[in-house]
Amino acid sequence: MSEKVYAWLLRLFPAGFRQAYGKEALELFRDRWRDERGLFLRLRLWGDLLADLVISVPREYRFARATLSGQCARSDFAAIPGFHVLADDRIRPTSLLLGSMLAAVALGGLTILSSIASTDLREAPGVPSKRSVDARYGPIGAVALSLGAGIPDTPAEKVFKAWLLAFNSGDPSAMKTFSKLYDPTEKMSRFVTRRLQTSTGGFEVLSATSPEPTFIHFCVKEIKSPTTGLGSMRVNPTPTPTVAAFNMDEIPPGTVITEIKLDAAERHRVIKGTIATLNEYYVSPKVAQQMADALLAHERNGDDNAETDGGFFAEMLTAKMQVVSHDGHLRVVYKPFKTKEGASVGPTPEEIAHHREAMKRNNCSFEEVRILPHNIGYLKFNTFPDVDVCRSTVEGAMKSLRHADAIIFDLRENRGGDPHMVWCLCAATFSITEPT
Amino acid sequence: MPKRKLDPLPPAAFQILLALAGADLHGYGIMRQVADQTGGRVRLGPGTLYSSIQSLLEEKLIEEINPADGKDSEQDRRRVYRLSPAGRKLARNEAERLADLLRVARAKNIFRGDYV
Repeated sequence: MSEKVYAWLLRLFPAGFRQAYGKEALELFRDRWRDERGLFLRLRLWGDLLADLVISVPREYRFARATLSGQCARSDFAAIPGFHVLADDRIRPTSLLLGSMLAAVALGGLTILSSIASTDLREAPGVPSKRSVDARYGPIGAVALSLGAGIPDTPAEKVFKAWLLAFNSGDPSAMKTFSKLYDPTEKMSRFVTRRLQTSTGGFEVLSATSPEPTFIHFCVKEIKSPTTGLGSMRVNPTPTPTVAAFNMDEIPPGTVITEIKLDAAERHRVIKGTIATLNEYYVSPKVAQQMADALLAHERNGDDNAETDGGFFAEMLTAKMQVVSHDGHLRVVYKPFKTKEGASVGPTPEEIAHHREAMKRNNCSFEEVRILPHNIGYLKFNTFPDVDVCRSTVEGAMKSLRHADAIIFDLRENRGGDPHMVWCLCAATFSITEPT
Repeated sequence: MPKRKLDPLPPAAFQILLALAGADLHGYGIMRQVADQTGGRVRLGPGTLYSSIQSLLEEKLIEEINPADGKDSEQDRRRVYRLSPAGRKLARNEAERLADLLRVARAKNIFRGDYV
């Protein structure tokens, strides 16, 4: 509790200082809190901290660097929500005085209470109480647990519930534990990220069926939006089941779900279609032929015979082609949706609006914008998004870095995208004109 | 943006330079060392400490170093700071300046015969 209060107080510092030293300051607080026990020492600690705040905060605002101007890059620590500097205004003396008085009153009471009652409130180490579990996972835990009602607790079901519980908690350590235990081969790495959790708010389960002990098919809805998704998971039948395959796709608006169970004829049709597409479009005809030979050889050997799920079959084909081509960009994708009868070809206005909304919700894939020590700008974005939707985001990000001495563009997880966005970024960086 | 000034050297920054003269330390280590070397009179708060560290880093008077190899726990990933040659030189100049002042104070009988 005391640590959270101090984390809140750290919010009084400018964003640049918090980003550079917020974690360190919190760590220092933890160290002092651990070492300085007893009522007198705790009161002295809070006195030191308050005096430090009164002296340091105005000084830091006087020296504050230009920071973000409206970008919603994350800068949280200790799960405390953050705010960003939108203008370079200084704190008014009256605000500072009022804040200090309120903080002094609150912290005085808190220190006395925590010293008296700390032993009563402490929980046994390693044994989380029901209250802490409820507080940690909230209604999401209830969703995940209620999923078990009426559905056999199959291995697939068990792993699915574990994923949902870890993912919805938003706790990176819970996600890490899940991956270590159930997904050592990282089949679900894209679906166990804090970023996805933040953008979706987690998932609610709309329906789930487990026709086989090692297979679960599910339909989920994002908590933050009406977006729904369809997916399936297959686990290995080991004592501790591990993820063998996982896929999940957003259900596009205006589409109907097609439940296709693959048979030999359908698998052959897909393989023939894949080979035809490779031969027609793949950049290297020689490698395309090698991939085609590999796919046909696997089909002849009967390696594909057991697979009846479209998503897993697509992943299987992808893996076989990548073994030959070593081309990580080449994928077979299964979409279990089709547009309604009579629908026009191409995206509908609803689909375009949905796409734009999704891009905005995801901050156009711009994950982090900040100033590093020595006035180095840092910009991490994971796609080159649609310039029509994201121009203002990009220009805002670049504007916030305009005083940097150098800029690092972190493209390590960038999956590519719209070439016009490359021009847009170049224009914002080098003062050149975009081609029309 | 106004630049941080270290001329004259603020007392907190000088204390940090002195603390790092003996060993490479992380933030809490510096705070403890400063408290030790001042008999507990100076306890640098996080704001003052890291503000001073930032100024000293910008002026290249101290430098951030990688923690010891093989330590990869959260506890051991703290930033550790080391006194740079320029920082050592500045600390020496500041100490000499204070020593000159002390000599003047002695000459003026400020201490009334007490040994300092």
